[in-house]
Amino acid sequence: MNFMNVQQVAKDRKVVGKSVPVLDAREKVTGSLKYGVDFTVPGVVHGKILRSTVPHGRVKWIDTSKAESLPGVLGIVTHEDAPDLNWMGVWDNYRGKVLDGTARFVGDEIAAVAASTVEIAEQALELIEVEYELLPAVLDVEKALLQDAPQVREEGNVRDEYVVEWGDLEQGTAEADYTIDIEMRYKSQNYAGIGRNACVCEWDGDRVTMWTSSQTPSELQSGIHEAFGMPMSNVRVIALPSGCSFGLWWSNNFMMVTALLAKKVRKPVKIELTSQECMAAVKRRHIEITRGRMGVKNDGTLTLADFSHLMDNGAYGFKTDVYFFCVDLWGGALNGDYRVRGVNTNLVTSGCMRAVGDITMGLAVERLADMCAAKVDIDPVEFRIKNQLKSGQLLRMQEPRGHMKGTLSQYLNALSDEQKQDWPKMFHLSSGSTHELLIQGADKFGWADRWKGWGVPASVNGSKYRGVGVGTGAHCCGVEFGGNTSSVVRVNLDGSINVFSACGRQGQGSETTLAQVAAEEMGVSLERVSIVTGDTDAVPWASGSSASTTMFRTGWATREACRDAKNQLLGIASQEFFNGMSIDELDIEDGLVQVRNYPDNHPRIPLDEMMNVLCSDSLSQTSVITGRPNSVMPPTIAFARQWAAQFAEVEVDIETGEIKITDYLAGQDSGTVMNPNVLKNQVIGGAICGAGFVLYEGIEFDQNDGRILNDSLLDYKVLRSGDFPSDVEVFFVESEDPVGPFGARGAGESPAAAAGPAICQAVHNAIGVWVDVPMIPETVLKALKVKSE
Amino acid sequence: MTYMLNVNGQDFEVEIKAHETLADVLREKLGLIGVKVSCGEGECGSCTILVDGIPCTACLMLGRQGVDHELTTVEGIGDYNNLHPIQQAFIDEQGFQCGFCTPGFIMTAKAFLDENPNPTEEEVSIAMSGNICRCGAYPWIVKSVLKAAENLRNGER
Amino acid sequence: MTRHFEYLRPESIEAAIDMKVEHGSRGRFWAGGTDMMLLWQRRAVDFDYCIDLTYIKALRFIEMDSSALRIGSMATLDDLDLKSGLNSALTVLGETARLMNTKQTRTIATVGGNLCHASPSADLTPPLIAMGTQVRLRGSEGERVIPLEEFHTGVNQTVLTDGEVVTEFLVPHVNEKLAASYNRIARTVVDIALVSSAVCLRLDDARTVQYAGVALGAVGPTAIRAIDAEKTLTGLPLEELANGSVQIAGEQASMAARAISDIRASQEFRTDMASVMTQRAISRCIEILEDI
Repeated sequence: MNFMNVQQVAKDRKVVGKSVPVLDAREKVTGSLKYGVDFTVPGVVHGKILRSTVPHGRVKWIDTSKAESLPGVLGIVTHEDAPDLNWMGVWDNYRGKVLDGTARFVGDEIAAVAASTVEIAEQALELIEVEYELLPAVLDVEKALLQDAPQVREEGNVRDEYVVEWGDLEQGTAEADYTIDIEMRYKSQNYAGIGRNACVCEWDGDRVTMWTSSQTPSELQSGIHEAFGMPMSNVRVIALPSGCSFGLWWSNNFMMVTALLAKKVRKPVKIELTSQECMAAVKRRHIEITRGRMGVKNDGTLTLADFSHLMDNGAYGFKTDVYFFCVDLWGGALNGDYRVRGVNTNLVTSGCMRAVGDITMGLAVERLADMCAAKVDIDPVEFRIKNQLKSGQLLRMQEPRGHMKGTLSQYLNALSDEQKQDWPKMFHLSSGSTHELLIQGADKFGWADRWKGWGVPASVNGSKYRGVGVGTGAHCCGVEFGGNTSSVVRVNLDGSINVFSACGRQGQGSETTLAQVAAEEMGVSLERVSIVTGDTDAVPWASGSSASTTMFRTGWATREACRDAKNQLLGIASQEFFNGMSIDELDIEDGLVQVRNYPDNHPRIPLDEMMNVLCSDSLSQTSVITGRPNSVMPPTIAFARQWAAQFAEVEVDIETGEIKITDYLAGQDSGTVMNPNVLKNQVIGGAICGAGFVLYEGIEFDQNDGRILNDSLLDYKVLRSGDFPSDVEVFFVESEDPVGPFGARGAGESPAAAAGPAICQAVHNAIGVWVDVPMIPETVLKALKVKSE
Repeated sequence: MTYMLNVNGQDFEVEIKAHETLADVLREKLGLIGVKVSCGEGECGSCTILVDGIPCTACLMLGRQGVDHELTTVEGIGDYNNLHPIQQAFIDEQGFQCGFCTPGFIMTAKAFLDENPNPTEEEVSIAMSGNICRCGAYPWIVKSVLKAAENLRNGER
Repeated sequence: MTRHFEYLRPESIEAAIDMKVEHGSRGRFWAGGTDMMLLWQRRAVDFDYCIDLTYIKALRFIEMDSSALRIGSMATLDDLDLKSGLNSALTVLGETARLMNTKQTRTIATVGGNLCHASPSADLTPPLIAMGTQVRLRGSEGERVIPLEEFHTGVNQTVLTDGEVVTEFLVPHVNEKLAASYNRIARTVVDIALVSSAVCLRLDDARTVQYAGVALGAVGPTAIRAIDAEKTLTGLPLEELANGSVQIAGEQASMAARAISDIRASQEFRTDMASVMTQRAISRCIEILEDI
């Protein structure tokens, strides 16, 4: 089956590209949608987790007897109840046992109580006595690298270095007219998600069922299988919609603790996390440090991009890389070397948060590139157009070759003829770039008039200085080396379809956009499509909603599953109604099976009539059509990227350091836009996340024990409506992807990566200095003071 | 001990312990999961309900403080088959993403539009600043409220 | 620690005082509850009886009385906002209230509750002190009236004795040629003050500054009156204020500050900004007075 055929012309599309309301809109506005915290089952009992008060310690002894004799307490689990098995969370965001008797951060899970009410469970926690053998703790990222640092985990603190390199650094240095260095340190960003989470778990014999808000149903199923050493066939996860997640609610250890507790008490257990637990005891973005050097010629060519990046994994993270794509974004740099290293600390676990690596290291790369542009006095839009990757060019991120079987040519040789013909050129950018985004964006923003030069304000009014800035961001569209994709579609007797595609429901609208893909491919209206996304008894294993996977990969699989089902249907239709015509000449449109392009001369058979044929015994067919992908998706990490370019205007009060965003424009190239309203919302949502990262957000850790000091929204400041312009504009450049469903690519993360650089550059242009992030008023004044000295 | 609570136009006899929050009482005793609790400390506004038409943070109120008042939750302004114009406007403009904060925003918007039927975009943006949308749907929330205002002025319900 | 309490609902001030006297420190007044609820949940307070003041209608009012503005202790922050138009004092108090937390919290938080919680960064304290506000306390022994700047004694500490309740706040001279302004530094649009300053200037008939109040917030355990700054401004004709006195008063405000560093801001920043905020507040007052 040729990938490239039956790619419908945009104007013929019925559902793709339409801003249909999301399928759960009514539930959301009436408050009836059930999230993890709202979910319960009959007979449920309540669990609470005992958390460590020390950053590093071995449980010397733990006495639960007083707690167990409290009336209403049903059971308690400690490390003595947990299997001696490590399990791995999505994207190495967790590696450890469910409970193992060692506390590795303040807030670490030590034990859990199940009781008839939440209050009794809380009281029981107070009655558990535990003594720790205190171990030395390491709370500083750089100290954790040292040979003699306290080791947080048995594998040691330091993970392997991850390297992306090309060209020759010495040559790059020699060819540069200027080289500039940078060091940027980032605070850890908190997910600070509205919605909290809860996990409900029930065992039925050897089978376990878990309901929780999760973006990754399949991976959670795998995690339970690993953590408990049980067959996947006995694990059922029902992933519920989540509140704002940004990568927090994937597979989390508190879910495993719930399962352990439910197994012991043999009753359904619900553990509902408090806001404080969500903010301080689950996961956060890594603390990161970037050191870099770029070399630039007078004509603006980047000759060198040399970066080394350190990130902390906290206590249980196990990442080697951040899978960053600023490497490709600034792929025009002639010679490059990017190194990333992960290191553990006795702080709460850290892992992927929206635009991982690109919101952090990407910011340093953008800033250093801006410094180079300023040095040679080239406009930042022009500088980006000159040095950023264009479609068709070689990707700099070649590291995934290491995941392939054999060499690249061996891999390619092993492909079928069809795949060789259809697949895009491996390790070359297949489509899209920042090019058009920058040109169109500059035009819409009025850049030529508003830009006054590097460090020159656009306007001054008393102590208020305004400046404009541009920023760009990139990310992947799913990474198959972290898991595969699939989908199943079932055609019902009335021609309506059920789609089974694993993904999350954290507000990105995937349950709707995947249904749009299915409706378009099957030729039925959206009302005839029902989708299941979170039940692992129904959905085939597929990478969940992480790494901007869902539209591109799960959407591809959904389309292929529908294509398969359709072909089966057309095969039967051909025999029954179209005299054995080739199925390539048949199609389904508006729920009618018909001949392609000449419908009036030939019969048009309603799908339900078609499906009834299957019930007659003249064909001896099965009574149900089930479709699934018939081919393999090319490795998306080897060719697909998403791009964002954003333009910001800020106003800085140079007497107080306060910053206000006064104007904003966001451009996005994620291929075909499946649902414009959904995507615009995503783009600005990402921009606001990135804006928070550079303006206000940052976790403060206690110096002595690493506990999070600002674990509440009172002092962890997130943007509100009044902090961001209401009349934002979002525009799309739809460079169709050759592989993605109807040309669509992923989009969740690059918008978050582009915002920080745009805002930081705007501030720089307003007041003439670069400011460390987060750019809280005090930090802005410090930078101004340094400048004047 | 049970007390009478007037919720969404109906009287209910409800068991209320002294220290229980009004939000928890409404959620757990009356099943009104549209009263959403997130931060639990009055920062995020997810739990906003109307008390005699005035927007209030239910997670900071005692259940007993709801007695002798008319309480309205999102379930009381419209339902699945019969949406309030504000709810319809949020759907039309897609003023949400994950939807967790949405009931709170809608209740805040209801009280705001009752007092300010013809607001400017800036006024709406400030008025909605008491609720947090971490997903970042703010521009579309503002559009939704403006659309709702227009619909209400045009006599929709 | 007991994890439950009993709820009591007095309908009069006397009843509330009687309940408090009866239960002593095991009884706590509960106003809007925006602070008490969190203190309770975080186990920062322990008590057996909650005395809910929200049903005492006699404590919730905002009205004028000869020349003083009277604000009942159970007036909500939203009440201040809604009554902004009544006079110039309420304009600044309404503006200040709108900076505090969120609308849906202001509708339940009370002026009395806020001032009794005595947070060093509470926004209402500086403007009320700058305007010379007094507090009326009533107990089983009778009443007393004290200046607001003597009401707070430390972080979350007041002079209230067991059995006393705050009944009202009295803001004097509000019908005279008065201007007040409150300025603060914050992070997002909803935030507490990192540092703040309130200035109140009152002119006599000769348009000379008869009274100057300068009160700083979030730069000490309680709000601080910048006495030297006040002296600098007092006695000057309105049109002479802008000739350097604004800067001097600002510097004097910085010198009066006793800021600390915490996770929100550093001592240095707060001290520097005390001057900027004071200067801006004075300039705003001048602007208002020029129009009166």
